[in-house]
Amino acid sequence: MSGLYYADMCDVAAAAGCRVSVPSVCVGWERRARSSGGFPAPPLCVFWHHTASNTAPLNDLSYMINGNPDAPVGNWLVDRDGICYPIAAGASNCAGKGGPSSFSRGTIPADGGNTRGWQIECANSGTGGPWPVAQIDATFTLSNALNARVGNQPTDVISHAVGSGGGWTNRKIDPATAAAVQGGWRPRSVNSSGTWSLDDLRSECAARAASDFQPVEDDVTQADIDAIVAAVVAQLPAATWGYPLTNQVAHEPNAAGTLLEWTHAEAHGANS
Amino acid sequence: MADFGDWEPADSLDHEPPDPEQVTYRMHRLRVEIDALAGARDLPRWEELSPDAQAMAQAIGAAIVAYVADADPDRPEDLARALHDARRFVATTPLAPWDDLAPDDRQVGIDLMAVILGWLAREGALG
Repeated sequence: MSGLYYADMCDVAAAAGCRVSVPSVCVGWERRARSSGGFPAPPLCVFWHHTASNTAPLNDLSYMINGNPDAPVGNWLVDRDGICYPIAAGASNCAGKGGPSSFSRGTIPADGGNTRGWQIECANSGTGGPWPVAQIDATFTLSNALNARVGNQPTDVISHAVGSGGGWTNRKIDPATAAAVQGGWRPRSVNSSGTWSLDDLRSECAARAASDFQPVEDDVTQADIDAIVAAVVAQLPAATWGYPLTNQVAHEPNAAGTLLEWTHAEAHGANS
Repeated sequence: MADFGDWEPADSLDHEPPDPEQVTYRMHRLRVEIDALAGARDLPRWEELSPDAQAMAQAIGAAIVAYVADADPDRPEDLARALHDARRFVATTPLAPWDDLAPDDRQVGIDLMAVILGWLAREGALG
C-alpha cells in the first residue's frame, strides 16, 4: 500500500479516553482509503464535519463505508452518544473542493484537503439537531488525540464551512448549528446557517488539550513500599511472618532472618 | 435509504494519483456486486481469495493504474478491451478475443471500467 495508513488510530483514540467501537461494517478500516491510498504525508489538521443525517450510527456507517459511490467518507464517525467509529486509516473523501489553508506544520493547497487532513464526521442533522455533551466531549478528545499523534498543535483544526473566514469551503455549513450545542462550551454562530465559529473551536481545542495534561506519578517511594508490605503482612498471622527462613540447599539459617525481614528486603531491593 | 444529506461529488476532489491497491479493492468490490446481481454469488470476498488470486488481482489493478495515467475517462471501452487482452495473455484457460465476446459480456466490462474511470475522475486522479 502506498502512503501512510494510521493503523494505530483506534489505540490512540482509546488511550486519550475515547470510547471506540468497531462494528462489522467497519472491519477493514486499517487498509481502507480513497483511490489515492494512504496520506502522502502526516495530516496537517483535523477537519470537523457534520453528517447532515438523522439516522442510526450503523446507517451512517453503511453509507460512509459502502453506500456512497466515493466511499470512504471520512476517517471517523462520532455518534450522538460520543462513541467513535473508525472508517479509514488512509486518506478519505470529505473535504474536497476548497482551501487553501495554513496550519502549524504547513499549508494544504487548494482542493487538497482529503489527502492532507484527518476527517471527523459527527452525526448531526446540521439544521438544529442537538449536539449532546458526550458527543462534543468525544470529538474534542478525538481531534486533539489525532493532532497529537502526528505532531500538530491542538489548534490545527478547520471547519468544513468557510464560516466567517478561515474555514475550507463556501459550499458547506458544517459544523452547525451553534445554538444546538449542549453543555458548558457554546460556540458563537458566524452565519445564518448557524455554522460554529472557527476561532471558538480552536480556542476550545487548545483549552482542552491544556487541561487534559496530567503528569503521571510513576515514582514509588520507600514509604509506598512499607505501606504495601504492611498491607500484605496484615493478611497472614504474625507467627507466619516471624518464621525463621532456612537456606534449603545448605540447610543453614537464611541471612535474611524471618519471612517478614526477607519480604522487606526483597521489596526495597526491587525498588532500588 | 438512510438520510445522509450534505455529501456532493465535489467533496471527493483532490490531486493525488491513484493507488494500485485501492483500485484493486474497488475492482474486486464491483465484481462481487456484479456477481451478486447476476445471481451467482460465488466470488469470495477479498480476504477469502487465495494469495495467487490476490496477486493476480493486484496485477490487474496495477495495469489499470498504468493505463489510466493518460486515459480518457469518456472511453471506457478502450480500457475494457486492453484489460481483456491482458487477461487473455496471462489466463490459464482460453479466453475468446474481445470482439468475439457476446455483446452483453462486453457491456459488463465496459460498464465496469466506466464506473472505475468515473470514480477516479471525480477524485481528481486522472492526469
